[in-house]
Amino acid sequence: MHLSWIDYAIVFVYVGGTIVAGTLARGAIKGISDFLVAGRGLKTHMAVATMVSTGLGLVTVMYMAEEGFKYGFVPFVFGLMALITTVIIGRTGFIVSRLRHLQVMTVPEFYELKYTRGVRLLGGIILTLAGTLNMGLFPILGSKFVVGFTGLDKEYVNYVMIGMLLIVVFYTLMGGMVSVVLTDFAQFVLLSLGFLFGTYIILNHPQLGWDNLVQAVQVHKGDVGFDPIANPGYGISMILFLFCVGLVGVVWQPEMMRPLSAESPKVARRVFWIAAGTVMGRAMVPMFWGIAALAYFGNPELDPHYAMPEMLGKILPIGIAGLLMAGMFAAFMSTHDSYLLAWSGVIVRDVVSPIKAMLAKSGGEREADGTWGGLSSEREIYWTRAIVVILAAFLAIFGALYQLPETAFRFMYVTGTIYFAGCVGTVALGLYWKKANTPGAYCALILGALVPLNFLIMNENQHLVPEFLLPLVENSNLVGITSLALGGLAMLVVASLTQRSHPPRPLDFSNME
Amino acid sequence: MDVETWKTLWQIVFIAASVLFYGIVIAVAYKAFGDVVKMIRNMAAGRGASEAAADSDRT
Repeated sequence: MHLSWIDYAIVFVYVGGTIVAGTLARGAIKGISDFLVAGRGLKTHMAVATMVSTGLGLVTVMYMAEEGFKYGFVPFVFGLMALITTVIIGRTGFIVSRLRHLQVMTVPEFYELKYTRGVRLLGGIILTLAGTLNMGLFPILGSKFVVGFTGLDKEYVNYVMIGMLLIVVFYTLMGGMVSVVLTDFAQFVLLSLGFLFGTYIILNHPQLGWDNLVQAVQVHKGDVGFDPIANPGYGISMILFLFCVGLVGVVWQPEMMRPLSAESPKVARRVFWIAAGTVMGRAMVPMFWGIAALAYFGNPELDPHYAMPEMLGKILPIGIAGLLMAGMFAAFMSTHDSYLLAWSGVIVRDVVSPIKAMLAKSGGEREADGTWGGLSSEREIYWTRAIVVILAAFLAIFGALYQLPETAFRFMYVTGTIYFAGCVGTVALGLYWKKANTPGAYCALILGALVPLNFLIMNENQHLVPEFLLPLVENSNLVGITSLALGGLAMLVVASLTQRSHPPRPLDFSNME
Repeated sequence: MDVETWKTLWQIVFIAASVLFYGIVIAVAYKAFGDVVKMIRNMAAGRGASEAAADSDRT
């Protein structure tokens, strides 16, 4: 075991405090908008803290570190692309301002406003599929961090995962988005301190330091450990994909819940503008830690999921290790409660509730409490809580059984693209192109999802794939960029051809802040 | 670009990323702390998040 009792005491105090806060938060939940978007009352700085925290989960730290361990300094290009796209969104309010102005709680809800209930249902199903698959690796990666960091035997990894999931589920069930906001703030402070101390110690460690890290990458990776264009795992196609997905990725429900929880479209835009300054650090600090693990152990064949936490567990002094562990635990809780809430909210509001409304033949109008004629507000909260439990059980099974085709980072991007690709046509064009209509939305959602789904399934069965299609099951960069293009083109072509038979619904942004 | 230029570039970018990250974290944590305290007070008083947001708009 690498940690002392002082480190464990810090972690237990944090976990106890958050459980108390979660229990308190239960009193603040009076309706579905309190539960899912914290009553739309988040002010700028609170919204920034909670958005940064969601983008900086324990899983993010793990997969970013894995990229650093495997590709050296090259993945830093991800941080640069994230900075550029977040600045663009912050200055222009691209997608964010308009969706907040429409007062939707989930992205598929926009589909019912702009298109039809059927599009919302399909969008909800695809988003659920993408979201739950994407989240599939979160618990196991979090558990691997704890096991590696504490020096526990690796055979306990599944038990640790279940224990951590149980705490998160309890916490999320209690207070919904209000709980999420509170853990996010705690994580924001604790993990930032952990980042600062961890990086400082790496930079000043006799075996590590900047020059030793550069040398280690040169020895183990060669020149392609520094040059993103020459690196076969990155290249121009990956850089272009990162840029496009950075712009469209804003529609990812857990990310989008923050601007949708902001008190106005103007605040939603400002949140991105301020958060832009943090995106490079969020990516590069864990990547730097991954490179440090490579330099520390000097063995590129090690499992990077264990190497980075093991290195930190060995080099951090007593107290700092506890602080980082509490920060990482907070990061685990913060991301999981956000994602569980986001996806269960989508399943209930965009799949279950529309089906019930269709069966009841109710009209497609939004009611005062934010419901759409399907489930009542109270039933939506009830079912959202039930789905949180079901999703957590799925995650535990998936995490224990699934084997990664590439790195965790690639898996996250491919699964996210199942949804992002359709959003190019349905959300981006739906908000900014007056001709976007229902047939175009159906085609964008279906065609956008096909390529990444094909990659995930056929990657395991490559012997069945014709040779000319092999790049689409071998190269995740190509998969990403192809599906984004397909999603946008599908809307442009199909909507242009069906304007007369399916006239588009207009949206009014004339009085938007 | 040759590899030495990349090495220098990544070092500069890493320093810039760290300075921006910690600078914004400190500023945001300082300003958001009051909102967190208010939220916890509202929860302890058993008021809904929507009610608290509406009150905050009026003041």
